[in-house]
Amino acid sequence: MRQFKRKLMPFTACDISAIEKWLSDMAQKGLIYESSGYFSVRFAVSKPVKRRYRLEYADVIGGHITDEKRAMYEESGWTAVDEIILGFVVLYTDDADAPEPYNAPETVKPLEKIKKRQTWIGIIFILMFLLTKGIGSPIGSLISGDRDILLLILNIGTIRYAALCLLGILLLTEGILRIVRAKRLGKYIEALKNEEAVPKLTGKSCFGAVMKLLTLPLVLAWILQLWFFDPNVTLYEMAKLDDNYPFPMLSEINAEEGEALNELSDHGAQVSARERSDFLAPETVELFVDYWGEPNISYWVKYYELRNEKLAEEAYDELVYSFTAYTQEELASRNIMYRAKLKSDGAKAANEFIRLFDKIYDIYDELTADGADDIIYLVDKNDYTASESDMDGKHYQHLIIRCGNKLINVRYLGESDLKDYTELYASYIR
Amino acid sequence: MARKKFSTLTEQMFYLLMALIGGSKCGTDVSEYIRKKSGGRVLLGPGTLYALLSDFEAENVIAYVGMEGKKKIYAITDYGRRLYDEELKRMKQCVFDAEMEDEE
Repeated sequence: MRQFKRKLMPFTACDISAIEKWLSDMAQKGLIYESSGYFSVRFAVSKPVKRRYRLEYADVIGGHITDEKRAMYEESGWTAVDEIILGFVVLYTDDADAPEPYNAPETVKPLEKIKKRQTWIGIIFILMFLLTKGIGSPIGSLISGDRDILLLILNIGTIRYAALCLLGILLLTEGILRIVRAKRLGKYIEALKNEEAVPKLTGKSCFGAVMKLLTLPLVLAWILQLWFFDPNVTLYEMAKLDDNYPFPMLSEINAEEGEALNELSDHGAQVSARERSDFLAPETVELFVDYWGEPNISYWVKYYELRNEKLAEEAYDELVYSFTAYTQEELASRNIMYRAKLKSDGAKAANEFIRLFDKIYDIYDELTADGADDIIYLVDKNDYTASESDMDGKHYQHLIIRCGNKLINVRYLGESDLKDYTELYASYIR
Repeated sequence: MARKKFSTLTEQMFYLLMALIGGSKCGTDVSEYIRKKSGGRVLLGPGTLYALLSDFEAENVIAYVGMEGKKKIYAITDYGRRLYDEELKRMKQCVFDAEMEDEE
């Protein structure tokens, strides 16, 4: 009873020389080529034999060559196997004196078509990589001016983003491999044209076998990500939250303002609540409230539960740096266009406007609260409108508290003094 | 301006036409003729032979005239004969010019 073995096919259509050598090597080990699919090759187990294999790439129609061609091969000592491999008819001979099937430059046109096809497939894979959403999203955040550095880092940590990046890398690898193999085939073609010895290429590798298996799933995954993996939704999911926020609500800071917010939410106040989880921060919750009318209310809270305390320390340091490293010189150079424009409206208006961007904070970093590891409280000393009456002399207050691996970042514009509520915030996260 | 196909013939093409000048033959006989005539110097692999015969037949340089079992028999056409003669004349001129150069 005949025995058979299957082996993964680690080659593409460009690796003609490598496939021929591989089949010959298998024959020397007692594995005789029988048939092949896209991913694997079936060998019959037999006695080892010294056999030359060649792939017929010309005039192959429906996986067959004509009877006339077959007869020509047989008279020259070659046998055509009826089963094809990657679109080629397999030829073999045990006769060391049998002439090579092809020894003229004119016969390389089918190979040139294969090379061109593989090159284009490689280019398409590279284009697919460039159009993979995961790769584009951090760039998109930078372009859109997202200054929340912590958020940018956390965005990279989401599971879906990691999957998209992996998809992108695999697509790029597949594209590069195809183009490299097409170039190798190009060298093979040139050797045939110049009637030189063809370069002996192996090219077999486990990596090649794995990439071959992944080709079709990669294409399907890429198509799916076009519709389903919007990075904006992935990285910042909208979720319906119940009242159990991991931080105080506005009504706990200022009852009147909290009550007013309930009415304002139906009348133009910008209110949103979002949550997300990812590798770096298993839980992230954000509440955003902004209303510019009467009364002016602004209340942002971002809660992060990081994977460990070290990450939370780094996140805290990043947030603090984003405030305290903001120098006047940096602002001046960045807003020079605004200054130039506004100067045309007069010195007073220009000076007023310049002052809007000169962010200067009163910093209080000696605060303590039960259970809190780090606390910083900052008051933005500037007003953000030309008329001070719009803000009634109020200033943005910032409070950042860290307890272990949890972090709260608050921005508030209102009547209350956030400094008086550090214990309250700490109580939610200790 | 694109070069006309078969404006020059390769050695293998020339010998193939030479084989058919002497009478119609099948592919195997052509291959054998070329091997003997060239003393083994010019060899046509079966794949190359088939490709050249197909190409020549498509361009009416040779014509299919019958079958011998599974083998097709080919004969040279007038156009093929003209190509052969032109190539022969061209090569003779080349040899002549080279010999004149040597004498100078």
